[in-house]
Amino acid sequence: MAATVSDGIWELMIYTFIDEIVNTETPSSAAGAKAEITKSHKIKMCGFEIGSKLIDSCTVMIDKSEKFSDEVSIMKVIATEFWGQLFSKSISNLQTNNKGKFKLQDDGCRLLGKLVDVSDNEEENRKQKVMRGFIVDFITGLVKGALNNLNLEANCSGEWDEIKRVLEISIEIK
Amino acid sequence: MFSKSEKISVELLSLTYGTFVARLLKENDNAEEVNLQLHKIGSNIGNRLIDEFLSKSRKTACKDFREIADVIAKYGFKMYLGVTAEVAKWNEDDTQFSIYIENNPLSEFVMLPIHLQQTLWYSNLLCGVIKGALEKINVMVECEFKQDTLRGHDSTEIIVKLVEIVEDRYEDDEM
Amino acid sequence: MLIFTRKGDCIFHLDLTEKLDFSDTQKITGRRKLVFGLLLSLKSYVKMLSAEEFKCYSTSCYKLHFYELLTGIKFVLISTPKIAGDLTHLLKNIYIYQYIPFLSKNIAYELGTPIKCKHFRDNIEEELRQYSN
Repeated sequence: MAATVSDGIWELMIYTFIDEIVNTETPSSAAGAKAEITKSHKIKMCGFEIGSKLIDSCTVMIDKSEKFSDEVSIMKVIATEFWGQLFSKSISNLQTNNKGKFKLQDDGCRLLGKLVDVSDNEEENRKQKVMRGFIVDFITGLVKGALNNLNLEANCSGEWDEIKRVLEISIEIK
Repeated sequence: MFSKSEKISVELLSLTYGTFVARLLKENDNAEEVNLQLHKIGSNIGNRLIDEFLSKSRKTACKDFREIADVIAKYGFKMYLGVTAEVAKWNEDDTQFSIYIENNPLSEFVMLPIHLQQTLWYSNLLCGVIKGALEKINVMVECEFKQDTLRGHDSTEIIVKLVEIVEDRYEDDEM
Repeated sequence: MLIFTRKGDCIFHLDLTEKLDFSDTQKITGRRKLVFGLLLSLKSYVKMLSAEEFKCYSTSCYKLHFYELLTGIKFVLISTPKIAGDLTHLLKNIYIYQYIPFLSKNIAYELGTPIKCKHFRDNIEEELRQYSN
């Protein structure tokens, strides 16, 4: 078993680096909305890279032939082992329509749950909402990267419900 | 909700760090500036990490700078990087010391490309974290890398230099 | 309940008695300053008397709990004297389970600025209500 450490520095690393990437964007000619998309893309790519490398260490731990036979079992690995590596828990809920569509739900996701609104000021809360959006991008990037490394190309999108405090990731396998 | 201690593998930590550093280098090809950026990010982390560290380690106030050094090396590095570090090379008036890290987990699987070997302090984040964390407990330090095995040096060494320990001062108001 | 920074700025003030008039800012700031001044004097006084840190005291009309961190953040709880026992653990819990995750680690919150976070306020109110009955 690999050495483990307290995750405090890891969490803050994600927050501060993403904050840095988002805020030091060189002013380009691209309009606001477009710049937002490229930022989100960059963050997804970071997640993608981490996810695809991390899944390697998950696959070492489990018996390959048994667990990676079909899409459903792969998704189970994502929901348990992979999620466990990231957040020390399994995902709360995994659903499928058996036609290549999956839905992952995570209650009170740790990275997102802490980013509550800190103000009574609309403008500042909007910023925080954007930040949560980037963290969602990061997490979908992680999942997409992991799937990609298991030879599954998929569309991933995610949404965080601040009121219910649930993260929902939809995956559609191509 | 956050009661149980949450752990991640050292591997995930170094993987995450590596990916973000690579990202910053992509945005900015001036390694010196990236060093500064890492230092700044680290100090933001330190500012926020110190509360958690204190609550988990249950340390009471340190009596002097020597004790602070020990706590950083023995508890801080252990808790967040999974290794302990060695404190050495105190100067005469106890205001400067070096931290030696034997197996820096952040750089364990890293090879720097040649053009970065003499310019980038890959783990500069750590200096920022130390500085930022101490700043919050009124201990002002300067912190920088002296050697890094990634640069081909024999060891990894961080120098911490005490600037001042600030006493709490309260402003009298107009009353 | 109040939270002070190292410098003595009050960044959080929650009143469950609903007797305080927060629109009267002058009176409120005066009150906060009094509490902070009192804490400082008591702290140095207790320091002279014993090696222990001071945690709480009570009078016939109120009881005050105090929890201070090395980072200079001070949590103060003022309650009726009827409350039995030491409530420092309550302040400690607020620090560990509310302050650290939702403020200290929340990158949108600038450390040392007034806390306007509704989530934090609601959680604390809930915690405190459990004791006030």
